[in-house]
Amino acid sequence: MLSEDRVFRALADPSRRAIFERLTKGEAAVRDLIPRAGISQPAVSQHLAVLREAGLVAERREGRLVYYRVRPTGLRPLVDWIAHYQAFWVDRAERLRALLKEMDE
Amino acid sequence: MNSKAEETQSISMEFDLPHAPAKVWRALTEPALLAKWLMPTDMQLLVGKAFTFKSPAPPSASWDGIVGCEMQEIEPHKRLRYSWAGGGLDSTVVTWTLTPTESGGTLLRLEHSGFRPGKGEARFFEGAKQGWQWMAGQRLGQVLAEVP
Repeated sequence: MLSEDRVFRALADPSRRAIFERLTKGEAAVRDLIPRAGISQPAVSQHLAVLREAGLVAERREGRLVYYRVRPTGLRPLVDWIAHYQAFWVDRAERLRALLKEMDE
Repeated sequence: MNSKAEETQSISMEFDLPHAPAKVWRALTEPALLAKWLMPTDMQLLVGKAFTFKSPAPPSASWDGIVGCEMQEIEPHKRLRYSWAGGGLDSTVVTWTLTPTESGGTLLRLEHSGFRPGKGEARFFEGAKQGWQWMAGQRLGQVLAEVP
């Protein structure tokens, strides 16, 4: 799966997005995230695993607890997505160029 | 993440075309010509008028491939501006500016503004994903291969 795809999939889910947005405010352990997410601990852990695989969050172990934080570079694929849109226009402009030439004939 | 998340980003590019502005204008505004290089459309040159671009091949089951637009500014042979919303991308704006060149051609400038990166709504992410898939399906691989 492409990295863009992973990021978009990870953030397309409202619960995961809520967890991610909570983490943008600071590091947190799973137990800190449960009340806010309104879902069970295994579900929160699973969401965190998806976010981690997408490169959006990083973890740090301290004793029995695992703390999660946002990886600032994780959203890079969204910026890259804008680059994809840019490529779309470059592609279309080439077609426009060809069409203008055709209109002369 | 920081406070910059609410800022928007834009794409801008320029194309030096060997054709007169009047002709380039036609390609930017006549539906029959737009269908040949951009997408089929029911665009009308009326400020405030809503219109659409429809992708001939719907990109995915969850998005119909329709870009909803509203004409915002028309200055014949000089400037054309319309909103561009599709797949949840709801507030971008496309502006075309035509400037005659000394050689009788046109310097065509495109600005596509209003992209909201960072934390956004579900619709943004969903739209971004689908929009990307949609574009990637349209011969983009070729273009992307040339991007360093």
